[in-house]
Amino acid sequence: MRRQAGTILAVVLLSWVSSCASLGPDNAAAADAAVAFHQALASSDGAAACVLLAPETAADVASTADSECAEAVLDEGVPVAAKVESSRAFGRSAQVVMDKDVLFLSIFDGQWRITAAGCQSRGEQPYDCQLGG
Amino acid sequence: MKSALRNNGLALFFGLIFLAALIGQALTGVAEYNNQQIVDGLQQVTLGQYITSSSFAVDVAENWQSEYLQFFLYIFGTVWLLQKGSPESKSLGKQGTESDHEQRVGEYADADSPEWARHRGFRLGLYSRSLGIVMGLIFGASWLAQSIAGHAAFNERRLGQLQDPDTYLGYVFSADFWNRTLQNWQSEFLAVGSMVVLSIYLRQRGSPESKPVGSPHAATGIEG
Repeated sequence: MRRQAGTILAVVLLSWVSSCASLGPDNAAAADAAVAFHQALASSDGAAACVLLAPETAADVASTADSECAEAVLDEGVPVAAKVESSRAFGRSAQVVMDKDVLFLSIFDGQWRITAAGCQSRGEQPYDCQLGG
Repeated sequence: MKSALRNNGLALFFGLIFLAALIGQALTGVAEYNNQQIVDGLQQVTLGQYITSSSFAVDVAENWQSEYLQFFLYIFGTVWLLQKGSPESKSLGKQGTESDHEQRVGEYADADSPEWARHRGFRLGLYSRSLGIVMGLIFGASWLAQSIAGHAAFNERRLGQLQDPDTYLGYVFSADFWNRTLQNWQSEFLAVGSMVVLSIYLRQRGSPESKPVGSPHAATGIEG
């Protein structure tokens, strides 16, 4: 009886630890979303770029420019990047560093979406971002 | 069935209130987490997503490690340290691991003694310290889990605030890790210390954690 209880407890604990998906989220998928965003910007496909933005970020882009997100996102001046240098994800957040840009992402409905892009480091201060942030 | 419940009441009671408190922590934790998600313009999570998150794991583990550290230190500390008048202490002069005769091991073992207490050697040495060792191992595992989950939760928060993530080593030496750790340790050490001292002068009739009500304050090593 005690051995069974111990086994059950061990199984429950192991299941919990192994199900802690947030300890190892998919940073490659975050990098893919960042690359797709920059490919959309490079081909002036604002609609495709906006699909990859987090809802609040897309709304901010549209309201700041007082136009559709698909038009406004191309005028934000985000430097177009092509190559991923690093991608780090923790829990539901990620940072993708590219050759000419740093992006921050979060998970929405199981997909990585960009919360901020065109970001410049300010040391220990939060990044200064042209889009979102 | 009734006698099984009565004979295991202490373990069952604490097992049940542990589960109730853990469920309560999960329900209030997901509400708090989602409040912050709304403020940050991020998507809210389900209860299932929350209880498998690093945020929940670090909050659970930081409390577990301190509780098991408390018992680990108490189990080993009470072998050598005494407190005059406290039922939590052995009688004065009895510090140390005591004789084999007092501990009923080896040739002094009884017919109903545990198997590992009867035979001298590695098994007896290990079994003689098994309670403290297991408490110590659970403490170590919980503290490690706190550091791993805490690192992920800390970096998730930093990324949400558009800051660079920190390395694992950087996190282990960070104010966040040590603040979480020490705020739990201080409360555990205070609780144990006050139990040791208050039980010299105060009584709880019928509790083995207290001396009998009529015992003198100076009486040491007596349980009610």
